[in-house]
Amino acid sequence: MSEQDDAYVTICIPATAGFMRVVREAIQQAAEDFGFSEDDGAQIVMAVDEASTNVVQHGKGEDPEHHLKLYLRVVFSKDRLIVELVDEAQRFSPARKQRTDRGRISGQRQDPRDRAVGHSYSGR
Amino acid sequence: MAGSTIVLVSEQMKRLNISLEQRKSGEARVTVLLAGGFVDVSTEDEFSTRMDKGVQQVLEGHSAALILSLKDLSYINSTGLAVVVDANRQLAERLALASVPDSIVQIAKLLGLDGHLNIFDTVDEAVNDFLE
Repeated sequence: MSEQDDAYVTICIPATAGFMRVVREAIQQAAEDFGFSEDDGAQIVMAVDEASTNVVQHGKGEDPEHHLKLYLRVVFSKDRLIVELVDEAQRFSPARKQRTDRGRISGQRQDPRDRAVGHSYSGR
Repeated sequence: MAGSTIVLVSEQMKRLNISLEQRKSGEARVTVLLAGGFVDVSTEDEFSTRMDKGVQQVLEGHSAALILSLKDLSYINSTGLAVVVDANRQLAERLALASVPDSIVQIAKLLGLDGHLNIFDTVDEAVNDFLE
């Protein structure tokens, strides 16, 4: 099966604390469907939950009213399960933070389709 | 195979169920904290608050030990585990975990915590150990 033929699922949710359960349940089901053991599935769920939580906690930058979306894409490839998290968070610039050490950090909004996290898990 | 896109617009509500109770044997008492649901970014503050109360009961001498029952807990994130580790640091051998689901045991092993936590198969075993 070519990469083009891989099956995938994309979920779009608000990047808010209350929706992290949806992320975990989707990943848990995907890991189970792919054939991972329960233990391996639990570790994958935790990795994705922690990454998603970072978006919730830090993605709004200086604007708490900013409504972020989080895109979770799960690809069922031949020999691996690929998990991608794409968010609309403001870009973080360490150099800019250094320049504005005590001041407000104003980030540049990134392309909403920029990949925030992408990771694949191999094996069945 | 074509992909599909699912947009979820509603928020499911089952979250953290947590309660504190005391078990007695004569004059001896232990505090049992029963946690169910999940500990994630939406519930970690509540979990931390309730754990702090349990820890304080022991530190203030109202209880001999704190037993954390995780029987009905489906998930705990790194912040929740940090709360447990901090309680363990404060209480040492006066903290016990009981009825820990396999998935959470695996996470604890992954993080190297399993050797540092006092884990019992059941709440009753833990209670008896402290009240004997």
